[in-house]
Amino acid sequence: MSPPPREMLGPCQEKAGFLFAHDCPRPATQRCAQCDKPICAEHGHPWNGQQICTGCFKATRQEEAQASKFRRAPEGVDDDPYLYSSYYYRGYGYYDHGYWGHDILNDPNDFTEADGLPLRQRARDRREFEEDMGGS
Amino acid sequence: MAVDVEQFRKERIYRAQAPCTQVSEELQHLGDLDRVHEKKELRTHSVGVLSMIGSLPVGFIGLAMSDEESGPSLLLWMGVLMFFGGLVSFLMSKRYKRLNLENRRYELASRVVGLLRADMAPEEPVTLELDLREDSHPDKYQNESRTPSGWKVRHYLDPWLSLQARLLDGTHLRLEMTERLQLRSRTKTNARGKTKYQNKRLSDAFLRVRLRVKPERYQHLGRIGSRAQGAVQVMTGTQLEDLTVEADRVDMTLYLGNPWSAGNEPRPNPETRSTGPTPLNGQRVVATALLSLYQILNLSRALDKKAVHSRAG
Repeated sequence: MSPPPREMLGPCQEKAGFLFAHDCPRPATQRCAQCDKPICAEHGHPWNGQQICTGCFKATRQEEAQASKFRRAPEGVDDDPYLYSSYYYRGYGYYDHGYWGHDILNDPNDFTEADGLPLRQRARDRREFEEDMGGS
Repeated sequence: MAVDVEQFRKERIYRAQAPCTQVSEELQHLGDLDRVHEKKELRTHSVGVLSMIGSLPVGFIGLAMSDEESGPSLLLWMGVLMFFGGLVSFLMSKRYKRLNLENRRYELASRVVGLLRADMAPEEPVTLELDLREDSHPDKYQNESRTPSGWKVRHYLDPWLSLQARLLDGTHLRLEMTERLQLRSRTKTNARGKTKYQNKRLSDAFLRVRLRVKPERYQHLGRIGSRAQGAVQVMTGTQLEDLTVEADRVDMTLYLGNPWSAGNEPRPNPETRSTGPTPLNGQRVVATALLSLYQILNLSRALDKKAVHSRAG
């Protein structure tokens, strides 16, 4: 079976980048063998004799890594910008609690629920907000 | 536009302002040229050595065979010819040596361009200046000093790599690598009165990566400030020299104390003892620096998203 013509596939649907995720500016040349997403040649990664997209490749490798004792970077990762952060930067793109940024996520100057009452009280005193909605 | 070979031979500085694919091709072409020069250098040097060594016995035999009546023998002429042939080969070898470039420099540049390509528009130009002259070139000489232990030190500063590019998110990237070189020499007289001449070469490097961003896209950068250091991951053998985070830019300088190579060095043979530390993987040093800076930028975006979600909630 011949591959579908390029016009049919449209732009590449993979968003993976080296430093940040973004729309891929290249046209799709193939479909991911796992999720059927149209992808360009650069976002295709060889896996079991097929080409799969970066997202599927990472997920597959993660499953394999969980099953094995050691997590080793596959061949060619050094020259593949889309996989670099997964193997050579621990916790890339992770900002949840327990990571270095967890306290920064909570702005000390931000409003909290405790600020609600005094703010409402002040607004009522100054008659800034209309609270009696039935009146209008 | 291909590399202007004649211009490059004169200057030995590669300058380009072109899309990544073109720059990669040109660097590949430079690598091919370099390999040709390396082979020629080796060949002419070998021919020079063999001719010089061969010219001595041939010349002597030729001299012995010569007499006053018949004049210099053919062998003597051959010896003289071999001697001058050897000299010419040495001169040619020296010329090729001058054009024998430091592989790791153009290889690293090529690898970095290859990585950045993933986050750049296909037609977006990258501005690259690659100084491939030797690090002890007279233009790079700084000054001279003496150490307390008697070493005479000649200092060189070699800012050999400068790369600028605009990424797809509008960020302007500037990457620079500078090597520092010390050529040390001294003469030492030991207790038995024997005088020894010693020389050694010490070098280290600095990598500086600067990102100038759109403040409206990364609104919390100023707030992150000095705490950004927590996001920085550096490879063993490198040290964070400086990190500045301001509302519109992030700037990082790394110190590379160990020698470095462009990529992964092949594992040393366990039978042969290697001296000195394992070279750093230059590509990974640069990539980790870039990822560290984007970890900071992405945190600013994460804070934005959190603010949006909390407002919506």
